[in-house]
Amino acid sequence: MNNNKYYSIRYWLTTTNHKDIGILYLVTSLYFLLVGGTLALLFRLQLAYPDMNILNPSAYNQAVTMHGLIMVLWAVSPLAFALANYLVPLQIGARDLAFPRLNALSYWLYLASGLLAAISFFLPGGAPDIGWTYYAPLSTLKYSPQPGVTLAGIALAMLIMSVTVGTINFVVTIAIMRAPGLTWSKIPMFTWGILFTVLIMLFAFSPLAAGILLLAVDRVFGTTFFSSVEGGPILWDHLFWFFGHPEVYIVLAPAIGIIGDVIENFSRKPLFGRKYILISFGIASFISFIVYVHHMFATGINPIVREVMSITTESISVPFGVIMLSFIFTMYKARIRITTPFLFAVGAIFLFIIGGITGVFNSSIALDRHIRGTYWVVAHFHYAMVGATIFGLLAGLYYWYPKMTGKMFNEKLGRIHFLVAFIGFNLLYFPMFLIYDMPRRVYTYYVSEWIPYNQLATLGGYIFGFSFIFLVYNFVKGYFSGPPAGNNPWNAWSLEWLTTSPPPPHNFDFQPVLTGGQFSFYTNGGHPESHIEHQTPLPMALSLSLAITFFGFLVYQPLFIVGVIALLVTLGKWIYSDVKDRFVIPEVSKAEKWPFDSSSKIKLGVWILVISEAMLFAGLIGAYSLIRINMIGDWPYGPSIHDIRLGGLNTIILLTSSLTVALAVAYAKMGDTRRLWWALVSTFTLGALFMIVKAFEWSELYAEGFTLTSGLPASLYYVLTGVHGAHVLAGMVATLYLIFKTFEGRYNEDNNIGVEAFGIYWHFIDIVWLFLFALFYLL
Amino acid sequence: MNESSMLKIYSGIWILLVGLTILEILMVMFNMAPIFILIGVLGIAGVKALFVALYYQHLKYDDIAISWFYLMALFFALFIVMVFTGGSAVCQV
Repeated sequence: MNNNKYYSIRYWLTTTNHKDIGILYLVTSLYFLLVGGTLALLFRLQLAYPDMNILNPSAYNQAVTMHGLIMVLWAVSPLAFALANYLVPLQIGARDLAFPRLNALSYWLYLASGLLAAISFFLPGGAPDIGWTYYAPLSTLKYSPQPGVTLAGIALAMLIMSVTVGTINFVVTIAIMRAPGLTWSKIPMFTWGILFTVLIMLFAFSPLAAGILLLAVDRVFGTTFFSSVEGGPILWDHLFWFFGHPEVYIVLAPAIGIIGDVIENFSRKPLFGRKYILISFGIASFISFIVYVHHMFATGINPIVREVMSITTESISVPFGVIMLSFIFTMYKARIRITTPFLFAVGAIFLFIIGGITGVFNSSIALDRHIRGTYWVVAHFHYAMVGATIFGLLAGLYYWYPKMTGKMFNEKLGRIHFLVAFIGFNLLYFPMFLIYDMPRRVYTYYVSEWIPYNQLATLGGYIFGFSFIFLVYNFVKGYFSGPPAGNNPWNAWSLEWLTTSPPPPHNFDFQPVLTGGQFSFYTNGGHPESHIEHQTPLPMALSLSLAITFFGFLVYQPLFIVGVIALLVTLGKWIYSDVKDRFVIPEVSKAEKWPFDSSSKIKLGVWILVISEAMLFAGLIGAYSLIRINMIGDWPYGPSIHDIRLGGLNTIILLTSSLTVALAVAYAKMGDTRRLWWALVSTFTLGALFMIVKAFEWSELYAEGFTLTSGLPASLYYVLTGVHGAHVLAGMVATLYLIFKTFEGRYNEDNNIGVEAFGIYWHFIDIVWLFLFALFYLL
Repeated sequence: MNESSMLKIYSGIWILLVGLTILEILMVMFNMAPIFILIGVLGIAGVKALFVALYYQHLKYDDIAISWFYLMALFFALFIVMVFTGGSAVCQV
């Protein structure tokens, strides 16, 4: 392996190898952890005494808001994905993730979005100061006119793009790229944890994207989704918490997986009740979506919904109880080797039990009235989200450090780190349980009894924060002068330990195979399978262009033009390189794929994208439903506003385009290039016709005074049909790409997956329109 | 089933979809009772979507696990609409 390349900046800007991307995620997430942690230390200092002047009220609010946003979205979860990027392909015996270039795009979008959010500190009015929950109507232009609120919101939208791309990549990789013999039951716990994480992400993030879109339209174009009586705070609460509560499990699940792997290895025996752990993990992931209204108990919504969600909230403690008990029973009568990763894993279990038990209290509607908005809640969710998660992730970092560097860290220093961090953490958060009547998100307090608890918490915060110096020192020293780790320093069983430390770029010299519980390597006649390494600046350039475009649009207009031009050039280059097949990753020849036996990477990837898009429209149609039911009697009857004939015409146009796409897929499979070409040209023409009719409709409606800001029915109509229209346009660009490739003779009986994958997307656009037509034109 | 026989199925489905669209429009134009229009129009939209998904999107012929994903998305979409509207509906009372 040529190590010199790792000293080249160009290499790091263009790499697509999953291990490099993992290291980039690691460094970036630790940077954001430092930023978020520093903000926390600042406001802990402010709270050490009443009436401190470290931060004025506005600066305090900014620090608290950005601490929450950065820690949850740009630090902790990406830290888990640093490990996921590095280790999931290794654990399942794959060469890389399914789409290496998209993986790089995912990272660069994440970095660009984080920097965009951080820039908001330097704008007039400063960073967002409205809480990480962005509650409406506080987040609307009337109450928070500063551009930083919009910019950080848009940064969040960029992060959702990153998350969506990452989700597609991990689902496809784990689903259809596992080494032969590595069936679902044999996958290591960490990879299971990541799979559950990305599945929750798949369904949770898109409705938030819908909320951010509506908020952005409110703030930029003056609509009133979140400042009206009919939408308002309740609409935001729904859209935010449908994402916000599962986000807890998004952050937590990778740590649970790590704890499983670490406990299993250092207890020297298989996990107790592994099957039940996985079933519980799945149940908890599902329930995480149907509990979110407990964040809205104080809003006065339907009591039945509140009661149901109170029960589901209590019930989620059952699967997590099963998981924790299984971990504990695994250690029972085991020949435990006490090491740094093990200590952190056990610490995480201990802290999670405290965080979990205190969470059960919050599920009570009656108790919620008293403890909502207090430091009790702060303590509870930090025990769950920081205690269990950060300690779990630290266990993972120590556990896989020898694999990633090829060196051992100093065990004694590791143990000291654990001890100091554990003491610091508990000093920081436990006193907060005892000040359960102190309101959170307030820059000062006047109750003298709260002073000692706050001082203990501040002291604990600094001890916990500075404990990370042990980690950094230990890792840096270990990297330069630690003893060699060897391939498998922990005598672990999973596949990543069978390759060198650090692994070669292609992970394994030969194809790993699992037979009878033992890994071996399928040598393929003695020749290692080929591995192609690609370098490309396009993911970085695309992310940067997008960030410049957003920044220019919201803050400094001349940059907008620069950003758009850069974006178009980069997209053009990306499409051109695809047309010329310059970045082709072949399908894995031998892999465990059940239950996706007939799926290819691209096809499954598009299916996952479609599911994500379905959830985006679910969020938007949810908003439509809530507003419409709140406007019963005031909502204009569809046919009185919209021309049914035009809507019907457009429906038939789109249905016909679906027919032409279905025909295109059939012709591609038959190898009939001439008919394929005509079918694709017809699809493009029908798409264009749909857009022309839509433009005509919009202009007519505008002329009649039915404008974007003329009321919620109009605003919803333009946003929903506009988002749908943007999807049609994207589909038309994809059609042009297919037409060009067909013209070049790239599709035949054996190679037509691009057409089939496009079909899946196009038909989805059609399905969405069928409902939009009914909801706006006919009802 | 070979691709040439699929062409007939695709064309048949298209005729059905266009027919259902015309039926939806007629229901509204003939001023049926609002509850019938509501149930009818949304029901027909659902049936049309089902046919597009099953035949044009090839869900009927694809891995069953893809259908699980779709059903899960459908469940959450319905859940969102129900909780959003259910929460608000009683709130107004």
